[in-house]
Amino acid sequence: MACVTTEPLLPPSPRFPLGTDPLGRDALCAFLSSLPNTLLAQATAISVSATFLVVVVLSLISERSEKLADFVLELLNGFPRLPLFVFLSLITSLTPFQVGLLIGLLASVRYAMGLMERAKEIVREEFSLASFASGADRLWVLRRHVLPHLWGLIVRSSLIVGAVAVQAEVGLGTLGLESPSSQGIGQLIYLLLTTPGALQTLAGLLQALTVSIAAASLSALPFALRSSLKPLRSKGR
Amino acid sequence: MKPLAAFFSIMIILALSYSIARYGLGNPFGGLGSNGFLTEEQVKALEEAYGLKGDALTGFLNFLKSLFEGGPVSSIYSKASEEVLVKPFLLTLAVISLASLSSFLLVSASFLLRPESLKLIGAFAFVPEYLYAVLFLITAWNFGWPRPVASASLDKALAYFVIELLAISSRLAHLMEELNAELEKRDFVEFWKAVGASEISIRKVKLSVALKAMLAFALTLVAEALERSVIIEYLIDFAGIGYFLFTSVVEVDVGLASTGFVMIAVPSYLLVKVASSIRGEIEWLA
Repeated sequence: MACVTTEPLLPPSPRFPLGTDPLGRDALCAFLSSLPNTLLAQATAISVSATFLVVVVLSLISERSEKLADFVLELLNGFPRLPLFVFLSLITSLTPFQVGLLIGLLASVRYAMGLMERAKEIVREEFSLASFASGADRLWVLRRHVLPHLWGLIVRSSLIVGAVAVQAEVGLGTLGLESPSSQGIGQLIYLLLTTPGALQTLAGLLQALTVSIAAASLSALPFALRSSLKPLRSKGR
Repeated sequence: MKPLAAFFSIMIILALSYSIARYGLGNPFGGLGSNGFLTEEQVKALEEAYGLKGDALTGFLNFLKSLFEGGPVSSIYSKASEEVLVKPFLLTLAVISLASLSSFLLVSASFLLRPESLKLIGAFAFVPEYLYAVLFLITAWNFGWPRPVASASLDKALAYFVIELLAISSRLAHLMEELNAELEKRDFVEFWKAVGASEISIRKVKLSVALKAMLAFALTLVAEALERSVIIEYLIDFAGIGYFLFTSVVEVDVGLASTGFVMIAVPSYLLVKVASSIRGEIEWLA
């Protein structure tokens, strides 16, 4: 989206509702054109996380893969994310898509561990044992008994991971460490921070608050959806 | 905690720190040195710390050894990186720990005296810390508090403490609310109700049962706050470990950046591990 460019940090007006940014662009236009990148980070993290969590549950298909999954999860649980991204900036600038990808994997580990425990419990329940006794294999039990019981939890965990991705992506953008070719909404705060006096203008204030509130609202998504996801979780059981 | 997995993970963190510094930048030390940015002694010290003239394994072992001897030399401060970073690290840890402890007490007291207030406090659990930090940034530039200059002064520490208190207490309150709902179904609560114990006595019992789970969660929150110090400290200009990691990356001080990364990553990783093992011991939470 090409944004109108004029004088920097003009106050809000009907033509420029958020004023202009330190580069002289229509701030609302700049915000709206970078928002898809932040949403891309969120969507990528949610999809990667959901896929990862399903793969973790499916690892119960054999004892060997279960042990391997347990070990990998134990290894990655608590692995640092944000400091790693910042440190990584020494050699490369991450794009929102890459942030979403990495967060989708690293932030899912904690939820994957809890999910694995629940999945193991379901495999030990009577209805699963009855299926085994009647000749069903592990994959069948995982598909028919375990996954349907865990969908709600998988969706909820993935949404939380999506919220973490928004926070990380906006955070990296705020630090000015994102790839210049693809930047999310955090870059607006970075511009304000690196322009002397920008935060003392009405336009600067409004832009900083808009970006922060937008990021907080995107992070609030899993909490807003929580009540509707609870019945989904209990439906299967 | 599984010590073997923890050991492997810490080695991975250290290897990452080493590899990014050694391979990612080609030979930055020589390059920077030729530009006159580093003195000959500094280039030599960094080459020694990263073992750039030997093979990768020897270099990594050299790097580990250098971490025990004060860390690679910082090109900006011209001294061992740990010498520069230990104080900021302790400062950050002190502020976060204090905020965490205060949140713990605040949530416990709220649960005992006014359990309905937990819902209100917990409603802010989704708000990212940097929203609070941006608010302080605005007050700093418009009202002069905290002062908009990078330092580890008392006003900065207080602002940082308030940010962490708001963030950690809302998340702890949210957890306590969930734990309370879970404990409500337990037999012992039914028993105390049946014998006519007062509401506050029952809440005291519930709190003592939930204490371990809260402690585990608080440790995880401390680890997360330590990780997010990179953004928060930059926004409020607090000269803690996160601020130093960020500025060292921007100013390409490889020695300081790799030590800073290790100083944040390893403790936060260990805190999560300790929290996981505490949580694993709680039978009723399983």
